[in-house]
Amino acid sequence: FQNFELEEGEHACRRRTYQRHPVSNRATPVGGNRHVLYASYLSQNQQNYRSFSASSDQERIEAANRIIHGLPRCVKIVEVGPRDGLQNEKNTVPTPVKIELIKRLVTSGLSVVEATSFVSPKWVPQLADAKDVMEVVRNITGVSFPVLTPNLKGFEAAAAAGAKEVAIFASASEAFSKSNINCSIKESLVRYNDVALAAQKREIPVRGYVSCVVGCPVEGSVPPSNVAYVAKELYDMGCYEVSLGDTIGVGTPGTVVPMLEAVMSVVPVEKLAVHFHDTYGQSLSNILVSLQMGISVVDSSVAGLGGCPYAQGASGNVATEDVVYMLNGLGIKTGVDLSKVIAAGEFICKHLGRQSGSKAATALSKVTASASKL
Amino acid sequence: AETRWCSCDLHFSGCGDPRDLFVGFKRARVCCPIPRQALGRGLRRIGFEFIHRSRMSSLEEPLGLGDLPKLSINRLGRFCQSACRSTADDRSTGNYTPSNSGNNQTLFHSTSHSWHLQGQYTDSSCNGVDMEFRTLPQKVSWDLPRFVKVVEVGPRDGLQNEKNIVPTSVKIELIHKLVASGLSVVEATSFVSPRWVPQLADAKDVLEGIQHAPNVRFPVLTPNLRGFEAAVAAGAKEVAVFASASESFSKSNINCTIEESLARYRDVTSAAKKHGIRIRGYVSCVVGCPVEGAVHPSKVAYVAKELYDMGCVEISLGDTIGVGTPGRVVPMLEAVMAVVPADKLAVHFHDTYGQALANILVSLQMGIGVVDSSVSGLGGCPYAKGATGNVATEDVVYMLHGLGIETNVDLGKLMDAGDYICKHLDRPSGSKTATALCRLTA
Repeated sequence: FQNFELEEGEHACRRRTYQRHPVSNRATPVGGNRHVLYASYLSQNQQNYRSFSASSDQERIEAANRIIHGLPRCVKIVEVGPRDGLQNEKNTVPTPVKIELIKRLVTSGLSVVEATSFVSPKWVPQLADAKDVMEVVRNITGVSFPVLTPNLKGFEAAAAAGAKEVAIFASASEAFSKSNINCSIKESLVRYNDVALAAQKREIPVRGYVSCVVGCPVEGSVPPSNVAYVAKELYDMGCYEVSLGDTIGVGTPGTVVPMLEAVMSVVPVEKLAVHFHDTYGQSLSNILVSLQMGISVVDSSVAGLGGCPYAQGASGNVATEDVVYMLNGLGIKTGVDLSKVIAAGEFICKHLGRQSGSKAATALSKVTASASKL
Repeated sequence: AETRWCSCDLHFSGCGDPRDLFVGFKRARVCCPIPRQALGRGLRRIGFEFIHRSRMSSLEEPLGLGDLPKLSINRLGRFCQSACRSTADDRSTGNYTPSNSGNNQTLFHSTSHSWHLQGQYTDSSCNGVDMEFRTLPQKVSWDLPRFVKVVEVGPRDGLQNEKNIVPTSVKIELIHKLVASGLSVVEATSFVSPRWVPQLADAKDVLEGIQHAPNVRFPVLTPNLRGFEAAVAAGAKEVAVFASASESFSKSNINCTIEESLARYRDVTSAAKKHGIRIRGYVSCVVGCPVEGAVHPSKVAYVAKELYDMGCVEISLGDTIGVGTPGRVVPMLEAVMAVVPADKLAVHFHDTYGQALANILVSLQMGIGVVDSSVSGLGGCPYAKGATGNVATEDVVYMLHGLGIETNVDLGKLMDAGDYICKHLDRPSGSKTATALCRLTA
């Protein structure tokens, strides 16, 4: 067994001590013809492992340990509603409403709120007021407000407007890169390198996004090595964090884990974030396995704002309220007050004239007081 | 016209039921309904169709680096430690072939290859070379069942919550469609007093109207001996009883204490044994109760054990109000699994707070191999009006297939069943997977 003892400092929010299982295959006959096999690096011969019947206390405790006790103690939530959420809205949301939304999100305890995007209004008219939003928001202290900057021009505009953090995004799928931002992965990375250098000069941190980390609407499945490659490029050019996005929401834990393994072999896990879409309802289980793998930063969008442009009417981002609900239930600290996020979600949904995309928010607003004792 | 492989990977377009599929920005023709699970080859795939532009003879064969989309940046070599020396140029032009030394391990497409074989996955770009790679904190428990039985509760748990009564013929048709999708257990109805559950007053007609298929079971709920006898008279071969882990819920829901309800069920189970009828037990409020709040795992274990001891062949643990998260579910399962064997347990999560799939995932990781769900997420939550209830079968099956777990369920046909009932109820599906997949083809 290898013990990963981690520093238990005063403000340590690291993984707890984790017992790593032996890498060799260990088949333990349990009650007849079932075997316990540890799936780390199994050899070809072990393909036909079967489920185990945890009839012994020891095995059950070990299973529980592996599943929920090795999770990060704290998780940082990166709120992308004002940008990723609102950019997909049919009707443009007025600037004061955006600002009010951001303020309410800040009061809920979120420490990172993606405020807007400095892209050409020709492509994203919903965020044409980026400068105006930024002007107000930059005065709020204690919270980071990354803004998307697809190129140097956007970066300059962002810096001029007072942005103190920027974000860049590259695709792990060549076809998506071409169809989404009109250039190949390489060309986009070259562009971003310019942005990263400029940001470095001004001491502005850069957050990287990788899109289509599991599947691409054009190409289909995306090889984990592509994702690892792009993530590493972004990391090497100076991104302090790389967020891995399942853009069309097709991922399941079966595809997410190999992808994370690939990326984690080239980028330290503390620098990674996950950005799952709930288009197929899979995001919370994907987030859970990511936590089990050691990821401790999760992107989400209040009230599940932001549909999926590739499946009209289908849902997009995972709802922050649902994520916080799960993390609270797991005993993981987020610093976020769920009721205040719900309030922020209610505010924007009232404005948009629609129901919240968050199940937890919907349930909590309808349930009787006694049932919410939990 | 470009040659198109159908997503079943066996045919050119035209092998079966042709459908137009909108993939990305292009309309493409595919020949098989999505996704193809029941091809008998254990093909693992993500649950949306796409056109294979490259030639893939079998999704089970791992793809080599040469099959990667061409990246024009010649920097794949950076993945390698210095020990590994195949030219980056070769890689980028797709000429690279894995060296034949060593294990000849190749890169796997995560979706085309079962994650079971993750053990072969070394550094992606340096094949066949012994090299040191960063040890990953391989924490994830992958002791997952190979096969998961999905118990469909839509016709009972789903429809019993409907405001408007669904006609008997529609119920029967729904059940037939569900069976056609490959589900082997479909909860057909409930023999409770029509005074309490008017939506299922036609229990006898439904049971008598269903075409019985071999290897398909149709459990029916029987809250007491009278209901049991009515069920037997109508031809039921399997019944279900349900007890609460919370005293307050038991009193408010079925008007008696837990002990009283267990006593009733003992009568039912002994009668069932006499008739050779299987019994399935349900425990409700296994995580939280709308009256009491949190429910202690030991209570759940107690009730589960009682049901098991009295003869239930399977105990389904229900998070009735959907408040559970993995943090609560795992200790509850630990407690129950100490007294009931894991292979006799099922999980029945509600998606009221969106937590169901995560809870199902940890249950699988704990060793549970039976999951209850409801087509299209039928069935709201009576304790939070307007909130959702049951987890949608389509979403569950999508996840299970993505995990490489067999279910024998054809997602396309399942979606047809969901479509059918939602059309009748005149409502959108409660399943995100179904919604997304229909929108893709729209």
